[in-house]
Amino acid sequence: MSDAAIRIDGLTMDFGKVRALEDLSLEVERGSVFGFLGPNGAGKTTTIRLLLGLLEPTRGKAEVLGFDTHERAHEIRSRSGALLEQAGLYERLSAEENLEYYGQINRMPGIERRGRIKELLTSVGLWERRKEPLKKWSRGMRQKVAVARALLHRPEMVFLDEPTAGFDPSSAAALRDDLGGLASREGVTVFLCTHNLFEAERLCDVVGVIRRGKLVAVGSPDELRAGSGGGRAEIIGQGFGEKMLRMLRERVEVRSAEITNGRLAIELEEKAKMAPLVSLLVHEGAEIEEVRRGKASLEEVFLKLMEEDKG
Amino acid sequence: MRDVWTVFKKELKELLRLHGSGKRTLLLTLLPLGAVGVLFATTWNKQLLESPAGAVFCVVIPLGMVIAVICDSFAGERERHTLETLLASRLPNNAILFGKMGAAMAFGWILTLLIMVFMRSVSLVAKGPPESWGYLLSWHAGALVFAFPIWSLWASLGVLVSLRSPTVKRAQQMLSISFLLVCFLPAIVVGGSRAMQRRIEGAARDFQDVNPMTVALVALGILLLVDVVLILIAMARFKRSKLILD
Repeated sequence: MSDAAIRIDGLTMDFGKVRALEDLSLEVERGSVFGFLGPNGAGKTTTIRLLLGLLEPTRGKAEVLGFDTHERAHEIRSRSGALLEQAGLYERLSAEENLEYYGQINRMPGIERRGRIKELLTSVGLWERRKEPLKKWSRGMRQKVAVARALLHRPEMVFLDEPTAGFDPSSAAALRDDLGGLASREGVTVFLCTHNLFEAERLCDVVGVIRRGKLVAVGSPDELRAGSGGGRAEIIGQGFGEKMLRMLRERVEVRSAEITNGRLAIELEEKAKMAPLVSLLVHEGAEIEEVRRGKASLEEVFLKLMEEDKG
Repeated sequence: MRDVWTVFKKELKELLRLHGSGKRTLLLTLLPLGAVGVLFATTWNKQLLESPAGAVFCVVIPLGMVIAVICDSFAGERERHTLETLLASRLPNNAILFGKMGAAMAFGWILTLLIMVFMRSVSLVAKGPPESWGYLLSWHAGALVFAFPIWSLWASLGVLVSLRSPTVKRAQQMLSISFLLVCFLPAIVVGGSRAMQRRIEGAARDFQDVNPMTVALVALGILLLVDVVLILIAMARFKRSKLILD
């Protein structure tokens, strides 16, 4: 068996004339949390379906937990838990019955199954309501049960498509902690599709950004932020004017400069140094009190990658 | 087999919750069946009630309910967005297919049995004991045996339709139309052709001397053969990738 939990090599998927995924190659380490970011229709769900062996690729191949997705999909599904686009719960049944069903599907022994159901429903605060049919439950409550179902049989690999959609902030934070713990303590690999960039930043060891079926960036959140350019600087002080802005904008290491709320915000090119810019400003008569240098957030990196597409 | 049983149990459990609670569903299912049983037991004459027609009637009556249940199998899962999660589980294709078919067949068979019990109980009270218990029970037992391949036929047909239908309603329409075609098209064709009628009358005369048990066994054999063919087609058409994309 290979060390990578997921190994994708040149995966391409066409739906008729539409190319949903193009030459996707990727590796996800065992026991890591991989975040898959992208706008709607970028190919995230198609990727999950391919990895679970629910679709056959047009070209390329993929392995999950060392099993080929085409030849050994059953092995992959036996060792994986999945929360897909929809919660996929039976609304006529109760939370407990839904979990019982999937516990039986996964051949969990009765005592272990009941214990695990209690543990999971208690952790999401729904144990007391386990007998109620899900029909009248809110989306967030159902989503919690769906997440519990994905983790029920202690799978080696978990695929989660927008798991915190509909969660209140405290539940979302609790789930993030749980998922982080699963990866670090139990060695579970988590493949997480999300629009929530804060979540990806907090939780993911590695993030991949997909756009129109193509992987456009992959790396740790830190690497992506660093790779997005030199970051930005905020200068607090007095005496900033239009002439200074023009001078800054003419310099090659400055991408943009503007004054907002009396503060000078500068976007910098990669490896740009601040000292010459500060000297220039002082020389031109600015009174500088503080210079703050920061990297772009993951959200900014993501938006930038999406803008490149528009361009 | 264990996987088939898991799906089977869950399907029946869901069926019991069709109208909310289990008690309510049972009541809403049994009331019309009971009413039909009582109606026919009181309005049909005793001879007709004790004839083979009475037994056949018990197999035909629950058909509408069974069609509704079968159509719910895959089309219902698709409509309620539970199908993809089920397909992403470790369940083998055949376990899903046979679990669902088995539940529909069991439902049809139980309804057949219940309507027989209703009809006979009311008939016993209203019309007195039958002329021959042996004759009556053998026809009813035969009908119950025949009910299996009949419900299997409808279950596999229903699954075939349901596999590709986007909604339960569409699947029900398709299956109802198929039912009408199967039942009425031969009658219309035969009714419209004198030559065909004469040929059938001739064939009926030829079969007059044949042992009814032989006819029953041949019919059972044909039914089972059709069942097997339909099940094989359903198995071949059960492709996860197609079900996901449909």
